[in-house]
Amino acid sequence: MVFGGVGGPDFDGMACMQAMEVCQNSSLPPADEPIDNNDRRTTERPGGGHGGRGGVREQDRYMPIANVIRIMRRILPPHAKISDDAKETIQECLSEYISFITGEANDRCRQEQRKTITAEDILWAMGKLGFDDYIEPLTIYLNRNREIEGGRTSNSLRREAFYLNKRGNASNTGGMDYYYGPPPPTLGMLPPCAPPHHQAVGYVDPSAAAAMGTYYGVGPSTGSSSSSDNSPPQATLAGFDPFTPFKY
Amino acid sequence: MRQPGMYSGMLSGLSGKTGPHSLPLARIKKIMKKSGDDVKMISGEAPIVFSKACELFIEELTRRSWTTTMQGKRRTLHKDDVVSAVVATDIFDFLVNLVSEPPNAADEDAPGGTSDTEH
Repeated sequence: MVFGGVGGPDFDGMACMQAMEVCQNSSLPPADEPIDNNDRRTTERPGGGHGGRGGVREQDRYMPIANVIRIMRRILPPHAKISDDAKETIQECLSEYISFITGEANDRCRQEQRKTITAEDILWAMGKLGFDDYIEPLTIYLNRNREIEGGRTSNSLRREAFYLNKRGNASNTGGMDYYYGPPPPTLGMLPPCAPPHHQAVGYVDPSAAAAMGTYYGVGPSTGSSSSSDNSPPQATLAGFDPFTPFKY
Repeated sequence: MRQPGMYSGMLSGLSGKTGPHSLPLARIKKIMKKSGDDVKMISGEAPIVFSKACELFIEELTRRSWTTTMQGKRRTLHKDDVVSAVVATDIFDFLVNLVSEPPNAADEDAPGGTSDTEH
């Protein structure tokens, strides 16, 4: 028989969540890159036709123009219009800005013999190149992101998955979920269809019960607090009365 | 001024949460890698910082350009306004050559149409 493993939540959903995080930061074209039909550079010369640009696609050199325009519109009054050449110029300036800062940050990494450009390197480069005013809002932004991301370690993802699972299951066992199978055989814990406080029988072997859909009494009834209820709660089992052996 | 609504604001990353940012992180990473041959590894946070920095950059450049537009009593922001903003701002010196190049003609037949050989 198949158990989901001790502690049902330990399932592939966690791997899915981790995969999603990886995908967001991968270099594959992600879903968040809009297909921008208005951007000249994405619709013309997909091979990068201008001389000297090699095999680099034009669209890879710039940020999507729709995003750029959206940010511009935050600043401009509603009636303002933007000419196409202005849009493209700002798009080019943006890429140049990224290259400029990255180049400086990379120089620093090389000097310090580090291989990875970090967020700190970027902030340092901005300070060096005159973008001091950006450093504070960027630091705040970064710290806020770190707080949010810091909660999403693999342990907390595990917990998250568990609680999400738990909420979806109406079981009132108050213990482990039975999402993927019967619970571990523990005295007093019964399979989902039998709320334990209604059950008048003693310990049953849930694994056997699950496998064969039957219940086996292994001793006299333990007499729970609600022992007045002797009717078998699992009336769904077709005509099978598990209490038969105990009727004297 | 058009302001994003509460939910679209969240979606565009204005609330500062992670998740979708205003600018695609993968594209930022690509551009970073192209900036030098020896750019090897980039931490996960660097594109995130850049996505915000790019917003600030676009906002500043737009603001300054629009000032020139308003001075000309116009309502359409032209490339010349952007050029003026670049020239007038010290920290945008690195852009001066980029913006003062002749505009890329749609047809490459014009002599000097490619701009890569000039510098």
